[in-house]
Amino acid sequence: MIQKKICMIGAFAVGKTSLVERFVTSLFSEKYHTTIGVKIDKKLIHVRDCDMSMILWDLYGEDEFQKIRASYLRGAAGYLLVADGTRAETLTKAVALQKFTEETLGKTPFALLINKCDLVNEREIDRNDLETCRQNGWRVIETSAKTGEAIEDAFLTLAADMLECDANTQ
Amino acid sequence: MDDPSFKDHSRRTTPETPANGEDGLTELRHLLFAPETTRLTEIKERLDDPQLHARDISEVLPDAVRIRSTRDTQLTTALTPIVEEAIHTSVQKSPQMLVDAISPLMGPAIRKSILVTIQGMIQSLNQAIEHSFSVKGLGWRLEALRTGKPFAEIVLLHSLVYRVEHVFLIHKKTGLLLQHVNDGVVTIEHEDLVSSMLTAIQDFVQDSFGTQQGDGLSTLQVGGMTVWIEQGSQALLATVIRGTPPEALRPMLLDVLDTIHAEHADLLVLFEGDSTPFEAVRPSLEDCLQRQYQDVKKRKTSPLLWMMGATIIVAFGLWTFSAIREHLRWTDYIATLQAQPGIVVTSTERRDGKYIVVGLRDPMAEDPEAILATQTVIAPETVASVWEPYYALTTEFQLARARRALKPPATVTLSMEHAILRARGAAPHRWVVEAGQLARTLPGIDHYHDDDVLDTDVRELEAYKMKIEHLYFQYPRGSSAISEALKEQLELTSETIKKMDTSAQRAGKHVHIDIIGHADEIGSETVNLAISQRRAARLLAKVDSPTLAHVTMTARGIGTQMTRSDGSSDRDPASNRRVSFNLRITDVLP
Ligand SMILES: Nc1nc2c(ncn2[C@@H]2O[C@H](COP(=O)(O)OP(=O)(O)OP(=O)(O)O)[C@@H](O)[C@H]2O)c(=O)[nH]1
Ligand SMILES: [Mg+2]
Repeated sequence: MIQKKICMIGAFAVGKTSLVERFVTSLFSEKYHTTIGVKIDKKLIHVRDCDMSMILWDLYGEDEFQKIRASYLRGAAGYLLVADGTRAETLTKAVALQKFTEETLGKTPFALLINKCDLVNEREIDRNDLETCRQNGWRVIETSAKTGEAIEDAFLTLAADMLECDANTQ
Repeated sequence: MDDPSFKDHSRRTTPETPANGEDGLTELRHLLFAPETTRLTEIKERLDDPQLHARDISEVLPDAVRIRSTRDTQLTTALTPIVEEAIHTSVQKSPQMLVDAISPLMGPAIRKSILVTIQGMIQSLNQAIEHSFSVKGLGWRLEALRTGKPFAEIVLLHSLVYRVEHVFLIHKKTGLLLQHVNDGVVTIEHEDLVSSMLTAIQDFVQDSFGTQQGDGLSTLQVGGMTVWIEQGSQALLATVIRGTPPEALRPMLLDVLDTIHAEHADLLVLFEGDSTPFEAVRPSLEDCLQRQYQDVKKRKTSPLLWMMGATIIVAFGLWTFSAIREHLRWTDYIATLQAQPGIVVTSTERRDGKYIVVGLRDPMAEDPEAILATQTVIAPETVASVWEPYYALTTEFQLARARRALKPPATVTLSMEHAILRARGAAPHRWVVEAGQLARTLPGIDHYHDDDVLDTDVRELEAYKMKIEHLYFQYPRGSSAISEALKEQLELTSETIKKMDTSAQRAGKHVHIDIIGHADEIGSETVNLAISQRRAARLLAKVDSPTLAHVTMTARGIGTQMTRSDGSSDRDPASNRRVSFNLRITDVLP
């Protein structure tokens, strides 16, 4: 059994907590309870013949009052960058946060999740912008904590990337 | 009110004035007052038209409000109910708008306020703890009063000074759990989550209170529990302690942490989530599971009370001493009984001053009463015993029981293996038969083997058979009479046959003796046959007796059919003039 610390990073109310909740307990709630500080959860998974205990650090969403703290990111083996598909500015924020995180952690496996993809009519993030991200070598996954779409895929892909990264450094 | 448009207007109106004489006054008035009149009309118009009026006020309102609000609070007072009312209506009409407006503010605002609250809480918590130390005694008394429990019990409850219930070794950088031990009393479910949360709290506090890197949070209070966190360069050692740990515990914890750092430096630096190598530190962590109970304070007692106490203790001591001694003797006796083969004690008790022992006893086991009398000093009348008979199925007892039942002769040995009873040696026929029947009825014996027992009666019979078959009576030519020379041999034959009869009876056998007469080859065949028949018949008459119950005889002559030297070179006619015996031993038909 190998343990890994994973951080959920993104602007406020993009659905970080909802994604973790969906992945860990398969539940979803419409109610919004902002995360204060950090909420930690655990999920046992099996990828590539390896048992992994994912310790998920769900951080508060960054806003103008609270910047993400480097200390919470420390030691993360991977992270999920979350943006809200219905708020274009959250993608800008995600890009900024990715830069900050990479400065803090060094090159670390991550994936960009465009969440709330169920809200098709309110879509604000342009597919072309995502293409640009993909061309930069980012993994981009469109998810919905509400319908559960691509949630498992997102976490398991990250886990596989982390194992790959381990294998390369050894 | 220097309105430029007003001036323009007055100049323009002059040529339009009427020119007739009657209207001279009017004309004059017009000339004199025309601008004022127009102005008045205009003012009137502006005052009467609400739209224009509103436009005018809108020009001055911001300035007016500003000027007024610097002077006094009248305007605010006047506006407050209106603004309140307006907000109220707005919230009722479209709440979403307000929510949208303030929701970006709410999260951060809540966080801020919580931060402040936590700070306050930690402070007041520390105060409360310090305070409770100084008035502890009083507190306990109040608690006793309140709960109705005896004071002593409260003291006892509180006499736990401290107990380390959990020890976490945490990887500092990742917050992942390296190893966890608990005291076996209190367990927790997700120790890995606890580990991460402790790290998160550490980070939170370190950031929030701007403490120096390296000297983060070292003590947490959660209810009655204290969490101590020792910092190392790569790992944290967090101990969850119930009660009040002594400061002296800290150096010990730090020592353990230092040792772990020294011994596993590489592992700690290279840690990537696999905690198995850290199994090795478990013993060190277990050393941290310290505990301490407080001595309950002794009070000064009066000498009289001491003496009373002492007397009671001595009396009680004497009583208990004899009781204990008696009890020890009794348990000794029971142990002796238990050790006896064939005795099983099922229960013992003490009732009405008597010891009662109940159990099972094989009839062949030692007598418990005898053991009581000879091996103990317990008064026999104080003991009542109830023994149910049973068959002990140990090899020892099986054998003893078989010996008792089968009564084997000294020449037979019995042995027992896997519920099979085996007899070896030699025994009379009768014993062999009886033992065979009895053995089948013995409890716990599945098979009985007596193949290795020699039947002495049968053997004797065989010996007699051999002896008789080796005898032969020789006759002169042409004679069938028993000569004087044959008399002794005849007696021996009769004697042997008689013994054989008894022997056959014992062995349960029947013996048939075939007496065969022979003749030499001299002379005619008819004569020879006749003489051989005579020889056999005459001998039969001599040896047969009505007293023989188990031996029968027949006589026949076979002439020269079985001459002794038949086929050989040295023919001796004399040796063929004889009688021989052929014996057959058969089982008696039941
Ligand atoms: N329709 C839809 N709503 C979602 C989805 N994910 C989250 N939400 C809603 O978005 C709101 C915010 O979700 P959270 O998960 O609390 O967001 P967060 O990123 O953890 O927010 P902070 O902790 O404040 O940073 C909640 O009301 C959720 O119900 C989604 O995939 N689809
Ligand atoms: Mg959240």
